[in-house]
Amino acid sequence: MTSATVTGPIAGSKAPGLRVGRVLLYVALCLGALVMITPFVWMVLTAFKSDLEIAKFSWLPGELRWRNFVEAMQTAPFLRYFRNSLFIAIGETAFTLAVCTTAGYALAKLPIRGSKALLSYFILLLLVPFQIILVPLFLIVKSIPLFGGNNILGQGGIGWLNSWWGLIIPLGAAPLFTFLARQFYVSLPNELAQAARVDGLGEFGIFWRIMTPLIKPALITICVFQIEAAWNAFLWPLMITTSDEMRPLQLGLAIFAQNPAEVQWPYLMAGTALATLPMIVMFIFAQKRFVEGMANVGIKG
Amino acid sequence: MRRGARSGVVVLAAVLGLAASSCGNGVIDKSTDGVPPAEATGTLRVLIPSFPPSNKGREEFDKVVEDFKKTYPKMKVEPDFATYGNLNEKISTSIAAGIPYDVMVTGVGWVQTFASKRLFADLGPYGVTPEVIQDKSIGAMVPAATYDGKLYAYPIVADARAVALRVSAFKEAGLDPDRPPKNMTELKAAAEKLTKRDANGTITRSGFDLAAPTSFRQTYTTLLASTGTPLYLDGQPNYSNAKGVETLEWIKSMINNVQVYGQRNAAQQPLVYTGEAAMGITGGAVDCSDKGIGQANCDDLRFFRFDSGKEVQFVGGDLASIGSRARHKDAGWAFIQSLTKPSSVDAIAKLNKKIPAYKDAANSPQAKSNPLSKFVASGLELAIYEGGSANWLEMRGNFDTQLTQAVLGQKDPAKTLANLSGQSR
Repeated sequence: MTSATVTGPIAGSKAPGLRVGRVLLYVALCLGALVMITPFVWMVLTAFKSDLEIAKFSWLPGELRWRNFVEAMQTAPFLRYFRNSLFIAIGETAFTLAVCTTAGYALAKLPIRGSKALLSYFILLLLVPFQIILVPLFLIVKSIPLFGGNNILGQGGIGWLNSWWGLIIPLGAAPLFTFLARQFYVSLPNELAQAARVDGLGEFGIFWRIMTPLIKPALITICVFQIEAAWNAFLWPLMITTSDEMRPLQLGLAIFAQNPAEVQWPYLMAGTALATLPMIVMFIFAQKRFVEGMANVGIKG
Repeated sequence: MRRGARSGVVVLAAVLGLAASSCGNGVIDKSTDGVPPAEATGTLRVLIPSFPPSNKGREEFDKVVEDFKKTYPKMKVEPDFATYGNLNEKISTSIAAGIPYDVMVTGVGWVQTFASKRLFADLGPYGVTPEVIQDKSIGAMVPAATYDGKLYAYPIVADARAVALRVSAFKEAGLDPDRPPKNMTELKAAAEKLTKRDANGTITRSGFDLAAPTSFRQTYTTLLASTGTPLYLDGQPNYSNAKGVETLEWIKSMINNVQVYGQRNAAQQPLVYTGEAAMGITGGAVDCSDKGIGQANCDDLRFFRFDSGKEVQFVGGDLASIGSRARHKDAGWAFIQSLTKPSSVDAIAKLNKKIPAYKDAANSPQAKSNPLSKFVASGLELAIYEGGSANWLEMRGNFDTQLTQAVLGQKDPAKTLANLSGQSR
């Protein structure tokens, strides 16, 4: 009764305000979406243009030059670059899942002394720009013992340089994903683990058979983030590879901008449009997890 | 549990197997210097941004390797087709890791900095003298390749800048396109006459494109040199003086007067090519085909150089050096010789739209391919370049920022130049 008398006038007074608010919200969202999508539209349209059309501002190409795509792909072994990028993305993601979930579980559920300090350390690592650790990481990778001609002390050879190991492992153990996995594990009730312990399951069994299957959304989120990061990587692959056999797609695209004064925009945009496609498709299928992952990193724990 | 243990053993075995399989590759070479070329073995590591790693670029690079192998048949060549944007990181990581490149191709501005840090070897022992470069290459590039009286690099290709005007715009404004303005006073007067504005006073066609939406470094260097004042004189800064201030004040007087600050087109190409500016600084090549700016646009262009007392042409370019810690210095020099043969240089010039750095560049295929390349090729001996101090690579970003602040009126030009001069080492 009370609720009926209260909700009536409130609903009546709020409805127009809500509608206005919602309209404003949608306008803001549409503007945001427009701002985000414009560079992609520009990229696709530029891919069809001639050099002169790019030099003079125009949105639409005079003619749809599909041959730009064909010629761009014929400029270099792009099929190999695609394959390499795919291999690196899958390898890095598999390694990340293995390392970051175990580390995240340990930080969230195991009674480790100083685990809070360790967590703070991981959070602090998120602030360190990659350029800062570039040279130290390069030296570590070069000094991996018993690889690339190195002796047991990591000297005499090139270690993991110019190898798939060097491309996949160093960027696999990212603090962001450890933190993300930890956030998901924290949200699981400890009673589940205790019940499993009573049933005689070991700690690894609890992690592998009980807890991890419950954080499938987190695993998908990590996969999506890591595949995207690995697919777009440029500086690290450039630094540690000299052989073209292992270079990924992003380095292949740099061919069109080799001379900064003579960038081949139509080809660069055509190649970039094709390179972006897998990521767009992945985002369409996994956008819910993508957003969920961001939300979990930001608000839980 | 037993199943888990078995899986663990399998994984461990796989990891050890892979580790073992990766052993034995990539051992760092012993030096081949002093070994007869026919007997020398090992891998020559070459850092080279001059060849794009496209199919065509690779094909041309293979021809250089083929030529090199006539002298060093047993040596392998490992190219690293880096980009100019990442050369510093590539070189520093290779040095830090103790696996330096044998041959490094860098640009004007890099050589003196790296030579001062003892990363490049003196080419004197290989018979490279200023006279040799004067005789076979571009003599004006000798200062850019010299540090402390020694030569550290051999020019491969030159990347030049010129100035262009639109004939139609000149005629429309009542100016004579056959007598282009060359000094700063004439340029400013002509540019102001050529600038078009709408009813609100907004510039609709720039009178002069400084080709420097956010970076005035190269334009300033060229204009200053055209007054007979090089940026550096014997390694000492030479811009904190009356000419230096006058030049910077001139740029300041042009911005937002004949060109809006930050103006550039989507292709980041000179605005004079498309008629968005009536005059302006250009690169060293123009594509007159339908794929480029088209013949009609090309026919409307005339090229000239800055001359406020001294006719000059800004030149950058690719230069080859031998690493001071290279394990194959002799082989490195042999490779540079193959790399600088006219056929190789022509190929690099075509791939990068730059001018071959050999004596008769004006008759090179690249110079004949378009009118702008022909023009800049004929002026290579008027070359001036940016840099001149050992810390130029570190300084140039700051140079850009501070010049921009002075141009935009945020800082006093004289104080800016004095400050920059003080930072030079």
